[in-house]
Amino acid sequence: MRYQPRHFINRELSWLAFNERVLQEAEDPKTPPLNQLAFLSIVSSNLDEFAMIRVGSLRRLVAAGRSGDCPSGLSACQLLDQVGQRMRDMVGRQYECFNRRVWPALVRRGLRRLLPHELTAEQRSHIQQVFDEQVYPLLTPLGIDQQRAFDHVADLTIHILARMAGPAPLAAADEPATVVDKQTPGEHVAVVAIPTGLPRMIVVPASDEHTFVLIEDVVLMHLDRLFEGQKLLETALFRVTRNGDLSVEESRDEDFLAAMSEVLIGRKESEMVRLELAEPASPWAGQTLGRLLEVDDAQIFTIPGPLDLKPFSSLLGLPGLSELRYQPWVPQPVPRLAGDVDVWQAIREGDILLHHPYETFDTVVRLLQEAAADKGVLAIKQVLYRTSGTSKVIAALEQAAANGKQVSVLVELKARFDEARNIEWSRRLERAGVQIVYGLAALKVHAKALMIVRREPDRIRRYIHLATGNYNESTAQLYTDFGLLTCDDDFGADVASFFNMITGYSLPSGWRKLAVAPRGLRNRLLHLIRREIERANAGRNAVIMLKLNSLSDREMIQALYDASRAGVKVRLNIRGVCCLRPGVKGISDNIEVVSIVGRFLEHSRVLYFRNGGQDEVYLSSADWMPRNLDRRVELLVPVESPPLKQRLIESLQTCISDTAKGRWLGSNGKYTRPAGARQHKSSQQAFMELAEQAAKAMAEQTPREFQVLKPPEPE
Amino acid sequence: MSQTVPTNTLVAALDIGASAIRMAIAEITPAGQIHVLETPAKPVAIGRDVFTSGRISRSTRDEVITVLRGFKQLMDAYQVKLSRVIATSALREAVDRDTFVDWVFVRTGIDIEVIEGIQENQLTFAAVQNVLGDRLAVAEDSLIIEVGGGSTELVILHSGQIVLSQTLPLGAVRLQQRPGSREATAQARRRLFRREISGTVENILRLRDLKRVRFFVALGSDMRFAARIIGQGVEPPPGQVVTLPADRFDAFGQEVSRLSVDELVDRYSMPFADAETLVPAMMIYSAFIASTGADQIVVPMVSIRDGLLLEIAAMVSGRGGSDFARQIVASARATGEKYNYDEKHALHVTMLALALFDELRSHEHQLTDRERLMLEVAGILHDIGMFINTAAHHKHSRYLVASSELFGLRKADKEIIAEVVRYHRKSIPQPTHMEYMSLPRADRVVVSKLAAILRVADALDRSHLQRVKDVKFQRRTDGFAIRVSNVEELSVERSGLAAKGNLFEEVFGMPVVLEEAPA
Repeated sequence: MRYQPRHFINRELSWLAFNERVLQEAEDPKTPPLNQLAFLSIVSSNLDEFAMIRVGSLRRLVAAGRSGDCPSGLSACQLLDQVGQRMRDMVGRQYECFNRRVWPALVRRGLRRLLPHELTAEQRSHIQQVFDEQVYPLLTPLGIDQQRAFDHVADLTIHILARMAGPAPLAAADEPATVVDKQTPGEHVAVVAIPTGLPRMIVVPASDEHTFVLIEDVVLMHLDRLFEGQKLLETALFRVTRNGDLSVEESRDEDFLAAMSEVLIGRKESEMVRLELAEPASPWAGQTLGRLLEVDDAQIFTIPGPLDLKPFSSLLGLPGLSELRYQPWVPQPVPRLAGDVDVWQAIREGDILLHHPYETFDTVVRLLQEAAADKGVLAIKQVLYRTSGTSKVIAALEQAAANGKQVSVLVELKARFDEARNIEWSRRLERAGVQIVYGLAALKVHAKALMIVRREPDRIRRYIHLATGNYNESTAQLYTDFGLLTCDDDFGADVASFFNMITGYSLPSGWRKLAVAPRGLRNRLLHLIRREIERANAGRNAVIMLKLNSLSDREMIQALYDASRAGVKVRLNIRGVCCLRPGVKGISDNIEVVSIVGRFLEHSRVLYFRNGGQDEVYLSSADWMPRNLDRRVELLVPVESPPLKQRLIESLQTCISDTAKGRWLGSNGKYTRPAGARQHKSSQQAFMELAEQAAKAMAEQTPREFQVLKPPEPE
Repeated sequence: MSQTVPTNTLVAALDIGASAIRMAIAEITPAGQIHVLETPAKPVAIGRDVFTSGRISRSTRDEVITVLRGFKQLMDAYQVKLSRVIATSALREAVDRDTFVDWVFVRTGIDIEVIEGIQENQLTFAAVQNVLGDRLAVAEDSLIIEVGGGSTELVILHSGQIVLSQTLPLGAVRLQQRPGSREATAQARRRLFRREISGTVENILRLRDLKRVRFFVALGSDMRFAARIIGQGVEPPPGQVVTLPADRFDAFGQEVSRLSVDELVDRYSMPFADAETLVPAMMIYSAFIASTGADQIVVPMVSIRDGLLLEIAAMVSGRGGSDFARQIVASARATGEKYNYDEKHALHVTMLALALFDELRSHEHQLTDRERLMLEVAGILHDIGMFINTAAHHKHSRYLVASSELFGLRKADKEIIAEVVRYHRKSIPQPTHMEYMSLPRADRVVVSKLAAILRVADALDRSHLQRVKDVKFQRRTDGFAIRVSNVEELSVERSGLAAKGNLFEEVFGMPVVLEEAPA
């Protein structure tokens, strides 16, 4: 059957709906204030990415006169309008929440953001000192002329626009320069970028512990220092977002030229995607910026509060204030790896499932650290996608190389937004003697895999870690992910082949256990769905449960519609974008979609197929989006150990019946909380409790000290 | 934790084929068990170069270096201690193979062994036998075929004994390099292939009636791929044996032959290099299946690298190899039959020669089992030249042996056997004999020693009546005595010994006599 465009939900609108659910968490009075602030900060960061990537690519499509490939059939042009309106509404709600609820609540608990006119003399002199020592050396005011305005205004950075009067300043190469705005004789316009390397919040001495001034205010207070002899007439704060959709390198060959010319058109027509202007700003400021940056009114967003709430999430880390935050969560030890057990032996005894952040990611770090020091370990291979230079993972790999192990790491430099950081620590690893491979041409490696080759007395064993999340200790505290530890031979052979493939040493051949994108994963998934359809057609009970971050691939959605029509029960837990429209009569009656947004970011991908009673459960690195299935290296990992399978099935069931944090997607495309009785306990809460119980049970089982039994006294 | 010293040996087996370089990294236990760890493969178009221009191009040479360096990295990850690198038909036929081998050695330290077709056959057979074992010993014929890029290896067994072993100049890469093949339309190309294939099959049919084949074993990467696709896309574990119904295979062959290389890549998510060889390979397999009486195809998930690993394992553990000798002997006897040899005489002479060989091993000749096997083959085949003409039959035997496909024997082995056969009568080796003198010195010594023994053994059955039985040997100060219980009847044998014992005396430094054993 051919499904109609109306049977699909538009990807961009679904994306915005997700951000709205994040916003709802900020608005939820049960969320502690600092966490509300953190959610608002996520809303900002999501909107940045959305403007940069999604709006950016829509604008490019419009400029190229193309309609895009969204299965919902909405044209890029129609969408651009809708999306703009939705973003505007969202920003309105976000700042409403910030100004009316979150910030007042924080102020009541002693947080202070002081404005320049509120500072005492003492605070003023402190701020001046900070300005002189830390801020001033970093300031590079930009003069404005229309031709070069694009090049100078940095992406996603707060800037000050200043209008002043006075004698025309001389523009020397190393001097702050202004350029006369030709429109108004005798006046000058200048732009100053707020330094990005400094904290947004500058703490000032005050009776209240947490009192600070925003860095843009600090610069504003001292603006006259930059433009001596000028009279400041007015200032405004603004921030631009440029088109960041650089996905050309990912495109297929046949689209490459078209995409490339779109980029070229795009550079001229829609380089600027969005201009945020902080209130209060005069009409002059809006007009001037609009003209100089070549943005139209539809791209200008006035922000009723501080620009860019992203950095406000750092307040979450303030000392004290524990009553303003979620109760801290300490990731629990993994029962089978707790204490000082021999990790190698533990894995040999049976596969181990790790559920982060409920269970600690230290397990993986420890495995690497032990591998680095272990005499029997010959080699370590790993894919690093997003990690940080201070990571213990990197340190362990450096140590391993220093100890003479062969360490090979595939570094995915194409990880969006992280390129610079990745290059920095990969150079460090290279110096330590680690072999670095910088990804495959045209294919992003998104799979997360680690292999440790260990020579043991009886034989070589390969210890494998396959996961849904990156090797990043900080996100492992916040993202929910699963990892599998195994030393199974078939996995060993497959993962060895996998590394040989991504490092270019070998072509892939057949896989014993894994399915690998871009070759084979899509077909395997379709096969699994069709098999479930056959079961349903044969009158058997057929069930599919999927937990994904995004579902936007047309072919996969159609397969799920086919499944629904055949009577397969399809239960989906999709955190973010979902282009599948559930509950449509005759199309998707048997499909339910629930999205969970909670204190942790739902990130794991788990797949379940009933398979006529012979349950099959998989972990995967791939979302069901065209780019993941066709243009990335992704893995589908079967989990075969019965207790682990059981645990994953139960976790899926917990997620799809989460009436506390879950929101159900309706056939109208709207997400709503379930009517009727709501659970008190969210799925995330349940997993935390489970992990605590398991760790506690383990601790009680293990005697803390060994008691030596005395021989009975001779009588 | 306890760190006892591991005793397993880490090894690697590489083969450089016509379309790819493939490797198996494995560990071998002290008991000789093989545990394969990795099997990387990377396409390199050596065959395309060699089958068109006879040479290896510069860019291919560089590619080989890159691939081998990568493979060395992988070996290093396991700290591989022992590796063997073989090259098959493509490199074998390259005019510049010696400079190529040296080029690779200088740049990678890897020493390539260019093996002969018959060794290829033998390695593959060893791998097959290792997994199939007794299943090969069916009463009817069984056939083992491997279609490679440059050649097709064929072994036919009867009751588990090798009766035919051939390396055919028919390969999936080679076919495509035929003049006109590249330019032709898909249909014309298939016709061209078909003609070429059926010609080769007819040649085989002249040697053996393939209708008797009931057990059809197929190897090769293209066949393993077919087995994977027909069997639901899951990779069967290495060493497993998959059975495909012939009609299913046929249907698969039909289906893929309708697709272009690009369509194959898309449909089966397969590498381009593999897609290129798939259709011609399927056509070759199909042609052979159609000529046999087999209704199913047995596909063992093994390759020549497994055979190589078995050899390495035998070396590491000091075990194995006996069955292989049995197959060589069977192949020699099949050759004897082909030339209507006097089987009783041949086997009797062989028996006597081996008895002498074993007796003389400790003090006189100090040769190994390898030479013993050559003596055995020489004994079986020494008289086959009679098929041509009784006069100078030793010379006819010599060239028949040198030009027969004898399973499991390399060219160098066959040259030694041919010379041994040649000297089983008449003249003993002379510095004026060109073929003899062209052998390396060590091989000349082997020829002399084995011929000396064979001459004595042949003299002992000069009557062709197998009258010399129960021999015993005695070394005396005045010579080497062969003691029998019926010396009175043996005048013919005695005079034969007097005529042919000359080489024995020259080589082992003692005259040989025949005498009555004390009662």
